[in-house]
Amino acid sequence: MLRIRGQGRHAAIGGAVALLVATMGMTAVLANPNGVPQHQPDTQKTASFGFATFLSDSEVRDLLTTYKLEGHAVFTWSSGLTGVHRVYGVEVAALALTGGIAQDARAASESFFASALAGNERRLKTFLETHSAEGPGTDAKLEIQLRSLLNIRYRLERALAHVRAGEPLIYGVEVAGSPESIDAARRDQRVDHARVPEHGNDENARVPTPDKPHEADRRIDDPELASMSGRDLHERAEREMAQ
Amino acid sequence: MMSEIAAHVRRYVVIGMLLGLLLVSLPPGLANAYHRVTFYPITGDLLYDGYTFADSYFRWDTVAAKRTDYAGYEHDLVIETKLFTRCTSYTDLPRGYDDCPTAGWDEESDHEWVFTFGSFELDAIADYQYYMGAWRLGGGTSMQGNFRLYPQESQYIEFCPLGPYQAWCRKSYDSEAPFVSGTFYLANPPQFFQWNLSD
Repeated sequence: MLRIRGQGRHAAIGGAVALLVATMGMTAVLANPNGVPQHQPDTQKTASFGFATFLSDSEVRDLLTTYKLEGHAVFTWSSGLTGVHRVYGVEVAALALTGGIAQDARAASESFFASALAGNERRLKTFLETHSAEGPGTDAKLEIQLRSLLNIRYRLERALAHVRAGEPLIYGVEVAGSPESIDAARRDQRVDHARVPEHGNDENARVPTPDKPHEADRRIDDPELASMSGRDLHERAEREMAQ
Repeated sequence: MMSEIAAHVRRYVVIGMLLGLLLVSLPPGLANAYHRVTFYPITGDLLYDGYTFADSYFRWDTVAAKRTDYAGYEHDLVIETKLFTRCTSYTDLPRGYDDCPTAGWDEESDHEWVFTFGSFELDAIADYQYYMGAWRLGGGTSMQGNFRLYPQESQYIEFCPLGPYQAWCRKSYDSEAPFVSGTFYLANPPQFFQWNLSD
């Protein structure tokens, strides 16, 4: 009996919690039907933190959960591609429970780079349909165009491989939390610099983005492409599209 | 003899002046028909995959800023407000940045969101070379709705303390008509839009 009562009590508590969570979720949705970023309550502050180098997903998660911060955005770079991943509205609260915005960004980036590779393939195929090897072989402008399309492919393939291999992507985060949490986090050794909104935290307050590490300003090109002639580039593109 | 030479000189001067006037009065597009100097990419495209992803490829003939002071370039995709809960954006532009964070915050219309990527350094962009950027939006009805894609030149706001490589320290100029506009249809075949301003 006791066990049944105990289970019943747990079920009741679970039901109440579920109802509360659902109500909070509905309230959030109703209050913010378009998912437009809302200003934080007075007790919440926003800031962005930049890191001196790239942090792993688990380090970002640890930073957010240690200081009880909501992650609103992460700033990323991989293989010459600068990026951002942002979550809005109710999604913020859902991810805040686990500090999971870093993993969310990785999943989104993987899907992103896969789609972007398909897009690149379409442009390369169009180029090959439009121009024979004679084109980039004799026209310097077409040679530049084809080399750049292949370099984009190289960056996207590398970025996709990096994302799948779990290599660190994130050089900064935008967060919300109590003033005490923000102050404590900005002194964390992983944080290189902090940015706060210039005009407080009203609804128009914008959080400046963190600075990119210097290594993220590098141009990433396929070294093999640099010395290839226009005809070689055409042959390479044909080979890649045939795979 | 001297008067004949003087007459020839006068004739050539007049012809030269007329040719000069003709060149000056030509529309910029015609005067640079084969070599356009612009702050915006002269040709490009936008591909929507029919679900959550859109990318854009573009290139300049000859890139040049209209303004100085750390001139930059912005590629703005404006979409009707929908139930987005996620945005991911990347670009390979040099000195690149992505502006998903500002989407809808203080744009003129509350019915639209603006998704931007760009370069802080127009000077770092190379002629004839393709660049790309893309957006992946998640949640709700995703990317379905009316859209327009347009270019902006950006400029550093003088004395802004965070410096020129910070989106919040830049102002933009809505100086050009959209490259392309239309409607994204969800769960339909991919849609492809192009612009070519070289003619």
